[in-house]
Amino acid sequence: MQDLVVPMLRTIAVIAVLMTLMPYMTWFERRVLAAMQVRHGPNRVGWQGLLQPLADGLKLLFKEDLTPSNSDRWLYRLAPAIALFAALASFAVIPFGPTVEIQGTMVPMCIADLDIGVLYLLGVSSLGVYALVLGGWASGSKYSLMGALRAAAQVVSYELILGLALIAVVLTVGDTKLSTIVQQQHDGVWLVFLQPVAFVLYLIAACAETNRAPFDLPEAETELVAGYHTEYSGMRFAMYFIAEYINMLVVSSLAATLFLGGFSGPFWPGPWWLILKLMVFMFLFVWLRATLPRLRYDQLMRLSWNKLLPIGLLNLAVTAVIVVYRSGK
Amino acid sequence: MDARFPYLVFACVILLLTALGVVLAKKPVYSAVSLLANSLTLAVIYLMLSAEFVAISQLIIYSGAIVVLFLFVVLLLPQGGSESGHNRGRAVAAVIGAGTMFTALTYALLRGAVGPSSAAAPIVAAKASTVLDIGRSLFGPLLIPFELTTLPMLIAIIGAVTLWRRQEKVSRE
Amino acid sequence: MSEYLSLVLYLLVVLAIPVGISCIAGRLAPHKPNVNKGKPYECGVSEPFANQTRWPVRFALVAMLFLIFDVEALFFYPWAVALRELGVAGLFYIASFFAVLGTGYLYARNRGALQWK
Repeated sequence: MQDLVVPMLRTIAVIAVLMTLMPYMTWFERRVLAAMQVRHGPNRVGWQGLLQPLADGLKLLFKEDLTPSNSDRWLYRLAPAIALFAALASFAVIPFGPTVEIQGTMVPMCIADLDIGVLYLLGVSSLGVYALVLGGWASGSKYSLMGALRAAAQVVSYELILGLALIAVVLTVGDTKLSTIVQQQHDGVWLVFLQPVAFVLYLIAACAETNRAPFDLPEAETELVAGYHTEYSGMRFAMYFIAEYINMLVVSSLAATLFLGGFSGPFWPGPWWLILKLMVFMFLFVWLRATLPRLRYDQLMRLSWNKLLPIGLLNLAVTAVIVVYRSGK
Repeated sequence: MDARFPYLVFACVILLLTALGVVLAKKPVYSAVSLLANSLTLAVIYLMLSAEFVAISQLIIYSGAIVVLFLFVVLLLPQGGSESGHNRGRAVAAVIGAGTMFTALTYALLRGAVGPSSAAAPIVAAKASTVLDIGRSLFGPLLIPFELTTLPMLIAIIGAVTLWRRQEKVSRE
Repeated sequence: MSEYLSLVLYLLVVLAIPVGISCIAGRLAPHKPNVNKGKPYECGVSEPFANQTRWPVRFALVAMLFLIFDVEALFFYPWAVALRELGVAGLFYIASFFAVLGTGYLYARNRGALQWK
């Protein structure tokens, strides 16, 4: 029983932080976006609009839960749950602090620092595609299905690019364990300086994986209404929405962990550094959305298969040669 | 007996149920979802047997790519596809094939040709095999088989492109 | 193994969240179904839509190519971890593996499978 207390507390802490950060990311996004477009953004509910996310959540709670008549009832309900589960589950391997000693027991600041951490992230996040495909199909609406097909093709195409960026990191560090990757950056230099190409590839792929602008084709509102979640309302819509923001938090913290030294930093405890670094990426996401127009579908697919894939492989080849040369074998 | 044995049996029961679900489901979409559940359960079983990398490969390749492919094909059909009537011959062939496979595997296991040879061998390996171990064996003793896996993959690419081109020609006419 | 115990615990709690939300979805909200609400969303024209349309096969081709390259990418991980031990030989091992698949990629590209229009 004693063994379960620490993991349980850690689990509750992580979920509490994620579920608190998530609504404030929506507030942050709307305010920053507004500032960039010379507007005010939500500033009425509470001081500076800080209670706006709470109001939005309550509103969704009291909205009718509609199920289209020609939908597939079970899959329609299953799909948003998969989205939220996959998003939250993928955070499990991200270390948010060094191992600390509390009353004689060593407590690692990570849900599960697996040896195959990088692969776990890749595997669990790949389950998110089912939420899009099943939700879009089960809705029984053509906008949903079209959005779902686009989303799935986009997500799988960019998963390859994401994978190539991750392999470059693994190659440089020589381990798939995330805490080792952080430790090496702590002792040496941040990987963003050693792997600039992989960093850019990762950022592009992360935008596309989370369906963020300029890669927000699956929910291109001007042509597809809202894409795969057109028919969803109330709390089921909220699950897709929460999942999207949790996914942004996950890819941002992974970017911070892989390329910016993760939780390591002077003066403050680890978690604060991780949050600070992930905020940099969250700001970048909003900035991109405010700046870039949406890509056309053919441009999007060509970018991934014809440009980024060869670049990623070339980057791997160059990295491999340097790694072998430096190991002197 | 290993403490994890009951969990393993439980996982195997789920594995069997989801496998039956794939075969017996009315709509092909449900078959695909059942296949997803099946592949996830299999990943959990690999993990219980301390095969971390195999478990994660199961998750990435089967759950993350192969079932997606099946689902794509099913969803591209009108109404999520429907079985084109019951095909007697196909069912008989499937039963004979699966039965032969099952008998062969059971025989091999009983004779000790596959798996732990002595009854005392622990179900769970003492130490989980790391990615480095996999790398050592893949690029050591298993190098030739590893290099040969490229051939089926190459054939798969050529096959997929050829089928697609034929389809494109049909839809253009 | 304590790592996995912690992971399983986390996954169980995480699983409870979407299940919990699904249970309360619509419980606190009014529920007044009618025929028009149940129809799928249409932009102006409301005609019943069955998923009878045929979709481009290209989507399936993308899934197929993704599958192949995903398998290939997975093989890179053990190689990336073991490369320091393998040395120059490791470069040749992966180069010959890669040459065959690179051929496949170029074939698909030349045949227009990656030409999006």
